[in-house]
Amino acid sequence: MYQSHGFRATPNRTEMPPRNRQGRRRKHTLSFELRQAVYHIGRRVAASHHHRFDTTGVVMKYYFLALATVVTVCVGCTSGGGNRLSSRSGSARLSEFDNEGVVARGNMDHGHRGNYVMPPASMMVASGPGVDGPGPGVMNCLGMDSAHSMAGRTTQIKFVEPEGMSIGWQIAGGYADNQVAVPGRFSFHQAAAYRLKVSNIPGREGLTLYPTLQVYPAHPQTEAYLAHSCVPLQITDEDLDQIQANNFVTKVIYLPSPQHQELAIAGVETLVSTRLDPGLDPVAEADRRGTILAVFRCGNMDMESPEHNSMVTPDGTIRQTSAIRQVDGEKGEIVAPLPIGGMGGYGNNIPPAMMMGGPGGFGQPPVNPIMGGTAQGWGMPITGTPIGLAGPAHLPLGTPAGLKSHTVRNKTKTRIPDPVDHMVIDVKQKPGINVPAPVKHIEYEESQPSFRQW
Amino acid sequence: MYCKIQHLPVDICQPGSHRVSPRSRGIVRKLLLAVGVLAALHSTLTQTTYAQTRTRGRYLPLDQTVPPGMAGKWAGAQRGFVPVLQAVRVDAPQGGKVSYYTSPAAESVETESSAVVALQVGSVYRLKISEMPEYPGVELFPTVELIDRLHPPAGRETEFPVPIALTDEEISLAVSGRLVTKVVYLEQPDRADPIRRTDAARSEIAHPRENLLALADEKGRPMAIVRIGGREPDAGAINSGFYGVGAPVQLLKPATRSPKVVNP
Repeated sequence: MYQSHGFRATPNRTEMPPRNRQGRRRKHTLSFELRQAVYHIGRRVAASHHHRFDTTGVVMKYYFLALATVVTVCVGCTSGGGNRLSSRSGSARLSEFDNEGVVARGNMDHGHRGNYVMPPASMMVASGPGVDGPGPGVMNCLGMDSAHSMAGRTTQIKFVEPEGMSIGWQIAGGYADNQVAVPGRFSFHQAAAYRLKVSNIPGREGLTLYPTLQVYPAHPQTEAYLAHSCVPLQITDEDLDQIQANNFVTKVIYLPSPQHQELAIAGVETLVSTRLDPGLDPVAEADRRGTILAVFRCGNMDMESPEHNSMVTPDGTIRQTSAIRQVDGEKGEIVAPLPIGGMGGYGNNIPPAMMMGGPGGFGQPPVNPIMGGTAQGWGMPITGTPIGLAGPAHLPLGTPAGLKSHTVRNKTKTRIPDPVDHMVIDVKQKPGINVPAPVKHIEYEESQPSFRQW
Repeated sequence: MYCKIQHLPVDICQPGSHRVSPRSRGIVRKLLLAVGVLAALHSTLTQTTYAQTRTRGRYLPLDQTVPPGMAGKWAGAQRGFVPVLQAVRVDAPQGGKVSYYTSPAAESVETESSAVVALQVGSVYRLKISEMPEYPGVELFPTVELIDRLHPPAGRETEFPVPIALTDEEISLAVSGRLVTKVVYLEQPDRADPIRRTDAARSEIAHPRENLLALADEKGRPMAIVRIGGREPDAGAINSGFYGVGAPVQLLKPATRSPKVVNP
């Protein structure tokens, strides 16, 4: 009676959960909330019809409807659907063509539904920025040394056509002309942007272009390709027409992912901005289809116009003309290009590229671009953590160490099963052994030749 | 009126509402039980279906796109691994020169095509294939990554080299700028063709979405990864590590006798 009275005294009893045997309010459960909602719906439906009929049927009908919806949603969420590529969880099927093809990378299931997930190979090579293990779950730098050394940290660009064109580039203090004759190739250091100078274009006398070439750093998916193949760069007549028509042409050369790869043999593909629909970013589109190797951007801007070669420096002093270097490859003067990404003097309208170290020796870390050696760089995390993640940066601020503590909380969802204590191996051979029963009865009958007695 | 709230739906406790008959409650319980059983069956079947992948439920972190040297390093990390020298033979289509670089400074051992050399298992070698009669002026710089070894009879190692046969198609593709990746594997005896072959040029092209190492593992034992492209060294190749990290190369004398098939 107490429970009943207490419940009735509540002004809005539908908001109160029921009590258990101990008289305590139970927590709001999904079933409780669902029944509350269905009750309200039933009452409103009944009130709207202004009929006095049995609301229990209405309530139960909506209850079943809501229950079926909840069950459908819950059960449906466990399925990847017909097209598992669209599902973030579980293995992703590549296409209807490949019914059994499963993308090994990108599984984000955390092992909840039987799909045991290891980190991608690239992550196992380099577990994080500045950290290459070792640690639990992190392979001990396997393949890192040889991979870095074999890749070379350079990308060989092959200028395919138009034949006869000359490729130069920006150097310290000017431009180096005629460094590569098309068709020709040159190995650019990765993770840098370069200002090229394209001249002697066949059929377009007097046209000199100053495009930029942004060479992306090697990725684990592109390292093998870059170590063995060159990246073709082709400037077509259509590109030149677009450039002369005051259009900006962006060409993105990328290595397509396996699911976007048409041919069995790996080859790069090129996306041109002038052939894409308006509003589409070729860089983003190429990044969606694969891994970008290089981006070529070209307009009709003259980088050697008088205002660029102004003799007056920003501080007001007059610069001598001899400070501008003139290098010509036809005279045997070959000068390596100077990266312009991140520089403030020349080409500061180009966003700085990703910084990256150079190659190191066998088993040695890459050369740090800031320190110039294999020592740890300024700000490089040196504090080891149990899970292989970087600790706080060591910043030589000129003061005594002030760090008192740092805490790294491992929020990784793990499911490590217990070791096997009893192992059972069922062995089955197909087809099974089926031999005839051993002989247990022998009838021996001997016939002797008989000759008719005449 | 007294009712047990903890056992009954809330709606029947509201004033003016009607009780649900015991029969309806029984239906609800049966319905919930059936839905639960169906959900459990569905989740179980779904997991079984997902587990039936091409690799039969095994996850292979390595494939043909991993950086060169990674598979060899992982093979060398196995317990009991000994970096032995394995006999290898590289066959150009119509002959030529094959050079094996032994140091990052481009020191090499030059041999004729089809010569047998001993390479270290677990290492990556940069090769140079040149003077091919059908491809004048063409030089290819493939890499060979040994990830496993053979177990020939003692004293007869040179009779059983790992054959790496380059075809005209592969060379043409590499010259045109494409990357050809081959996985050489030792076929499983019960899956081998019952025909004795003296050449090793039998190869098949896999789908680009397939893991070559997984396919080779299903068909036998992966031995080597060969990558052929069209990149050539330039002036800065030595500093950039184009020729690899260096590993020993031993030129072996050709076998005095061919492998014999011993009939059981």
